[in-house]
Amino acid sequence: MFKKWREKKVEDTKNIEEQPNTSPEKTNWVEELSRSNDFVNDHTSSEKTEPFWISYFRTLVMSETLHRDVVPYLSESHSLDRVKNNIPIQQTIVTSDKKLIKEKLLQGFAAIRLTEQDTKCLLVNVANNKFRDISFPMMESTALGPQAGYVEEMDTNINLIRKHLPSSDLHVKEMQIGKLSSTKVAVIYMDSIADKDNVETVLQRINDVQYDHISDSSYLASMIEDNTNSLFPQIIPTERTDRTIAALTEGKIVIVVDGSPDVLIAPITLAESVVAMEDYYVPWLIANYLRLIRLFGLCVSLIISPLYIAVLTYHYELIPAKLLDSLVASRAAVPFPPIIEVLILEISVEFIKESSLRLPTKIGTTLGIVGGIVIGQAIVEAKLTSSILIILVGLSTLASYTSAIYKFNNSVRLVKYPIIVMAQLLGLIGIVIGLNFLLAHLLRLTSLGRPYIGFYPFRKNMFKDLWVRLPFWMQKENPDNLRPQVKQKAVFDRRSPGPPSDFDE
Amino acid sequence: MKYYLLTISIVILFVLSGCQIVPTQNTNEISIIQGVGFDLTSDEKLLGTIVYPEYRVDETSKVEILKAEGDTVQETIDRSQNEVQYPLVSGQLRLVLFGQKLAEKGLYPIIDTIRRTPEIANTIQLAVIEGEASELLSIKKYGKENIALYLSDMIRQNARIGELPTTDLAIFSYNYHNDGNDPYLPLLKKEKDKIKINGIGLLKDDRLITTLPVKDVFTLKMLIERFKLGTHQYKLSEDEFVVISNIKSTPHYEVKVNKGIPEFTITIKMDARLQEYRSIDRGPTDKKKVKQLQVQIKNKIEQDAARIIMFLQENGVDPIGLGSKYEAHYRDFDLRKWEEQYPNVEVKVNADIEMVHTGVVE
Repeated sequence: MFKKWREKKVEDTKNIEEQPNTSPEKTNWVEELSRSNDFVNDHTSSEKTEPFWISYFRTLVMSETLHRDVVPYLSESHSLDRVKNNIPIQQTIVTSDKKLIKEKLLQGFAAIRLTEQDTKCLLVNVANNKFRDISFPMMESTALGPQAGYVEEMDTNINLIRKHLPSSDLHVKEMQIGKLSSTKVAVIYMDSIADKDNVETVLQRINDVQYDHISDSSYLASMIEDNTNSLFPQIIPTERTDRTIAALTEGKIVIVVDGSPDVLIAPITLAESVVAMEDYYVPWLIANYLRLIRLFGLCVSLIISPLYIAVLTYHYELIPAKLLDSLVASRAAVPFPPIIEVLILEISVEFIKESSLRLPTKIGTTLGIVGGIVIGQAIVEAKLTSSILIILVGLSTLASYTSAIYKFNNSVRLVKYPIIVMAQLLGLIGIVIGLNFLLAHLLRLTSLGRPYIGFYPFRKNMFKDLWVRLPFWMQKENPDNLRPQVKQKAVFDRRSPGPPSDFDE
Repeated sequence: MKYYLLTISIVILFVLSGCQIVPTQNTNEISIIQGVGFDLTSDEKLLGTIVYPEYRVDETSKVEILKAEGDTVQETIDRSQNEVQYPLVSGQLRLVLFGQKLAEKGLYPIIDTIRRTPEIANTIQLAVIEGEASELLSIKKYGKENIALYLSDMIRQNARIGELPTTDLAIFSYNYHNDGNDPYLPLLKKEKDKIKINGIGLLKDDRLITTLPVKDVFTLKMLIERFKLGTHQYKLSEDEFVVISNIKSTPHYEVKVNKGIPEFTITIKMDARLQEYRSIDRGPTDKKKVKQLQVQIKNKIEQDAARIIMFLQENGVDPIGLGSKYEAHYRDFDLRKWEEQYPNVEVKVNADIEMVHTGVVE
């Protein structure tokens, strides 16, 4: 049965592949495209024998450009080459290649022919490139620093990068993936810094992608990741320009996907989860403090509920005598074992998170109040959980959002549950076993084949700007884990910048 | 496929075992013993007193006291077990008290039982009671307070900033097992319906031999251990008192062996602060006076120490651990011979007091 089904499937895929190949040869591209109602095939002159015939997708072109820069020039001459010279648009092609014509029409070009039966035509770029303007980075906002976030259009995004790195060293490799969506993807890197192997890996993996459409960069990220089954992102998305610029100069590779405001950075390490761009806009001591807070927050959100379960279920010896009173008394009326108590609360907090995530702000406020009352007060009065646990779960929820990268927050949200189960099964030793599994997994993970965990194997100069941020004068080297071709950062005086000379004679 | 089977069987194993492989001890379903007391009844049985808090909803916790007789420690607990809602557990034990009668007969069987219970910490407080431990633990006045925590905190704070030498199960065990050392325990006493520290109980092996009153405890502490904090008053004459506050005190031991007979010199090096000086018509406390006081206190300490050591020698107990210092110094140490020598051994005490802080003098 299975074999039969498989054979049938193979046939199906054959059919799909054959369809587009056979059709263009049999029919004219005008007829084929005219099946869509938004395809326009117009004659510009009243005489049937006179030129021109112009065809385009109404929904793809900017009609203002078309009417201002193309149509007026058509009456002046009677040859395609003349028109090509006259039209004040630089992107023009004269071709009779049906495949190319169709492709360009679908990208927003207009095709101009002398007669209706003519195969030769002039393609003029009148595509509508209007997208939303550059705006604040919504998910990664900072108080300080540049406020420009990426938008859905690739060229704008590359423009933002190029503007900040006006260097011929910045290479952009464009390609198209997705059989149906033909999404444009650009791989950007500093040619003299980025490791050649990394670039090759990225290019090859993107070329190997086989899927019908790529709606967002996250599609691509999960397709080219080293371990697709891992909870931890091995390629991180960002909407901040400063983050990509910093990554590029270190020797990382940036992938821009058309239609996605998130730009991908690879390879990365786990430590990246505590690195926020704001760290570079405040004094380095404060930055380190903030990083420690974030790291501590991640640990807390991972550990605190399992610890509560383990201690209250198995290790009453560990509770300080003074705490015993409040801890045990607050649970005195709760009829459930700690595991059920924790699950009730964790899951209800997840409900609130999940339901308020997609709601408009107006309803969201109501939800917050309802959730706050239900969880904050009623659940304790109803004796379903202890008040101390509410504090702990509240803390862990807060702490789970301390990471600077949104994708890590989701990882931490889920990683917690296996450890909760282990804590219930074996107590503290279960937590340790669970964390060991987590550590083993992180040690095995790679990002573009480079170690993911960020402290093993040990690289001294990586610590100058990863787990801690040292002042800028100490960061003279590119991190070794990226295997940059240039070890030193490009600075003018490498040996000693010397004290700032404020008083020049 | 194999992995699926393995995973499913592991999950089933967990689920069927009620999500627990080892027995759980849910904190709400155990009676947590925080203090115990042991006495010897008239017919040579153990009388165990158990203190545990009972947590109630919407109420402050209440401390329950259970009493049971038995031949062994376990029997007293088993007897008490018959009276409680939830099983008694000993992982939170903070205090063990011994009645005087029991202490005179020997404590070791009980301490041995406690030490062999893995969940009991090494830092719990032990104390000897002048009188009955059961009587002391069931004082009404402390009913709302958790008496076990109250007493263990009381002993601990007195050892930290007061006059009492540091004691706990670990130190007791060390002194008990170490050759040439004798253990000592704080001595508590019930006075009307109050409990107070009434000195130090001195033991030989595991039997209480004699006690040292509170006024001498500070000097003993100076001889035994290095410590900070603590104040002590010295009466220089009928109407002249001085109180010094200890900043840092360290004893140094010097052992000389002369023809097989050891001689000890203990030097107490102490940085002190002049806390209080009270006298009638003795003039101002200027620099000269402070110097004078320093000498007077030094003499006083030396006298006190000599007197205490004499007392210890008379009773044959060695809480200072002179024997172990001798053993560390002398290769042919023989415990039996040392115990014969001990009452007649010569011990000199030098006090090296320096008034570091005197406040504003002038």
